[in-house]
Amino acid sequence: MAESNEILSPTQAAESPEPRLDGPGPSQMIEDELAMPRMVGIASVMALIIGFVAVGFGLQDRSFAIGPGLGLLFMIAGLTGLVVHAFMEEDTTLRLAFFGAGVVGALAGTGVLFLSDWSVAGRALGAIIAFVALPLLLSVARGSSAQQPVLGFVPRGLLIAGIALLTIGLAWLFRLSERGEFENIGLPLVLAALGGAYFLGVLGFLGWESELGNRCGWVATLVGLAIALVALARSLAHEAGWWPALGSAYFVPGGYLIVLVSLLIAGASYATVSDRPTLVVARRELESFFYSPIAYFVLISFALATWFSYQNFLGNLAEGRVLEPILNYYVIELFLIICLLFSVPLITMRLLSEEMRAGTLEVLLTAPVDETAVVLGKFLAAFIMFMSLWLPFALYLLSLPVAAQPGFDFRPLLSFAVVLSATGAGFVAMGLLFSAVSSNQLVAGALTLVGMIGLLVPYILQFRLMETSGWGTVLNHISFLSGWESALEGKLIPRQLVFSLSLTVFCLFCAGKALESRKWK
Amino acid sequence: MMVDIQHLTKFFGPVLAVSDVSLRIEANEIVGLLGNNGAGKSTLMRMLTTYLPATSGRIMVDGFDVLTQSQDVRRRIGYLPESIPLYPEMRVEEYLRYRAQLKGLERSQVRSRIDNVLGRCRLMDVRRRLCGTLSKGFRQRVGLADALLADPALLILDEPTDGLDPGQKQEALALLRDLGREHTILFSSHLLGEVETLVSRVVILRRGHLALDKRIEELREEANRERTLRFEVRGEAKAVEAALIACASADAVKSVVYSQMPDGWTQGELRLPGAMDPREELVRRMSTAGVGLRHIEFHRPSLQDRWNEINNRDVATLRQKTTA
Repeated sequence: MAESNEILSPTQAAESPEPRLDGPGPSQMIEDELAMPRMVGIASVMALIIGFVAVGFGLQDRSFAIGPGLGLLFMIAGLTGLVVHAFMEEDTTLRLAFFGAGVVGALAGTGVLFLSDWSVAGRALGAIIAFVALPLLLSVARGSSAQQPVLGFVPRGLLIAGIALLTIGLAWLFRLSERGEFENIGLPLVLAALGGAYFLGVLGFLGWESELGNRCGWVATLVGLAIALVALARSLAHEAGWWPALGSAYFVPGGYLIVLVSLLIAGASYATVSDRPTLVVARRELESFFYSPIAYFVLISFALATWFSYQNFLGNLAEGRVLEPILNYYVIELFLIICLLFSVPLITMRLLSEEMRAGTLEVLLTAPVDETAVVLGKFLAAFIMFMSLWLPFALYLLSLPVAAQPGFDFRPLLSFAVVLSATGAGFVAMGLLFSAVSSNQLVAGALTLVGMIGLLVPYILQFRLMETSGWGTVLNHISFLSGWESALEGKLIPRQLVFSLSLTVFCLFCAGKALESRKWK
Repeated sequence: MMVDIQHLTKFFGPVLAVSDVSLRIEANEIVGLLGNNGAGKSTLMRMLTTYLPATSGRIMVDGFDVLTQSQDVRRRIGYLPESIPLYPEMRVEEYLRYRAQLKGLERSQVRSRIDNVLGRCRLMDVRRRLCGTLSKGFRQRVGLADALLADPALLILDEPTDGLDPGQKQEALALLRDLGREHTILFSSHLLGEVETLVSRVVILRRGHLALDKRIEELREEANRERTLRFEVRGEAKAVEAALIACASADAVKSVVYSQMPDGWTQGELRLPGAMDPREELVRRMSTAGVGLRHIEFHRPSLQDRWNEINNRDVATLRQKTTA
């Protein structure tokens, strides 16, 4: 390869490498001012303190100006703001301070988990703090144009910490499953999740290019798969009756939960380090969600909608008006459903439409990537985005023991998660299809909204038709809300998944064909 | 052979975009694809890049069929589309890293390759800028950097100098000339001047038909064979005629085209065969005959003349020519 200088004309070659103001170079770049992130940082600290006090008072059953629920919201907002500030700060001392806060948060948060005499809520709080400490810890290792990373050993250390926590959590789960003790899986599950989050967070931070991240990612993929296989074999052996020593509650808690956790970690590690075109496209798409305001808009509005329905749910609980399955009152909530109807089009409308409008599809499809990879990659990114909408929903539930009696049964959430994934895949695939047929985002979005409403209609119609004709049953199988209802009762009924899964496959297939249609137009 | 196009035809519904084009490009050739807007340049290129399938005909790139082995073909080409679509929200470096992953570059090579193309395309200063904020010239360079990433054997560049200022155009052409040492380049343009200095071969499309496909040396030779002597005279027509006949053949003189100039002088064009140079003789004879002569020069037909000739031809004769 020729050196770059060779191709310059003599006048240009004489030019210094520094950009000159009068030269033909780009307009001058001025480094971002730090005033804005620092304001965010100060506001966040205030929100964090208020939230902390409110939650603390709530934990001790004392009254404060704001309730513990709202206090939790303040805390989460404050922590998010701090993370934003930490990632934008350039000053070494402040960055080290953030790192210190991260270390304290991680150690204290994890430590609290082991204090069995603390209430469940207090320990849940510890878990949240330990999760949020991760980005604070990582922010110090970030390199920027202005500054070299401070404390370069941090990612390595965090990887080791993550692996350690993950190992402890999984080993503990294995042990509990042998004894069939479902009641105590909370702590090991949180440890495994924390370890997984640390590990995957660092992998994502290091990125595809890093040699270290890559090696760890591949090892995690293989080890995760191996653990999943062992756990699966154990579970099957147990079900076949070859392992009668296992406890009676083995099915959900011990065996398949371990399979699920290790598969998730293996899959996420693989997705971070793999260079398969599908995953490359998915990673870019996921990143680009967060470059546009739409992702934040959807996330925040969904967080608020779930907040609203959570408050409603608490009100119902307090008045004692709830019947089993109580979670129905939380999920099947008008405001939340409306938000869901609108958030799916907002996530999916730009996926392919934007590529077609801007012409980037042409560059994409002349690289060695086929239509299937593009469609699957986009689908994967949108699906992950959709599922992450429900994170605040899960977080609110963590604070439920503060507000209500601790005897809350979390198990229906597992079946709900499965059904939600299936229906979510159907929604997102439908949106993707509409995005593939129109190069206008608005048209794609509107079509998806109509589709979402169409999917909701069977739920409403089924009650009227149930008594008069057999169509009521058919509609019941199509209606996604009926599926959610039975999942929230703790029932995982395959026939409720069939419609969503076939919708997914059908829509993805059609979206692929829609992309190919340029060839026979 | 890098590219082998045989009897390529493309219809968009009822619209004939490319009609029975056959073309071969050898390795390390720089081929300029010329034509008016709508002549079928971009369509031809899109078919080469596997983005659009042909209605009929066959294209082989580096021995692979674009229809059946499209992934192999795509690994061997770098393509710069006319509109240079970029993701506005990505930074230049991020975009190139993404493209490198898509093109299946080895992880260990990615960083050095990106630095290499950034340097070649003089993008170092804007590597952290968002693609959406770049000016046209820089967008072109980012597109070109992307095309170069995987060090492809064949570069397909759709109007790489379009919309650049004169300085940038010179730079881009210099870069293309440099790239031509290691890559085969097919690029389209409607600026004839820039093409003449750069390419080793010229291909002209007119309304989807292949109107001209000649090496640049052939064109020069043809130009040399058909020299025209242009002169401006004032005086008696008979004296001029006599002087001309004395210097050139009588047949040639019969075909002289005269045109009246606004200031009373007359311009004449005389077609001369071979290497004949009667200028000195002509000046002497004219001055002895008392004819005023103020300008005399040889004129070789430029690419522009060929272009005009082709564009004035109607499509029916084109069709005859290509089927013949």
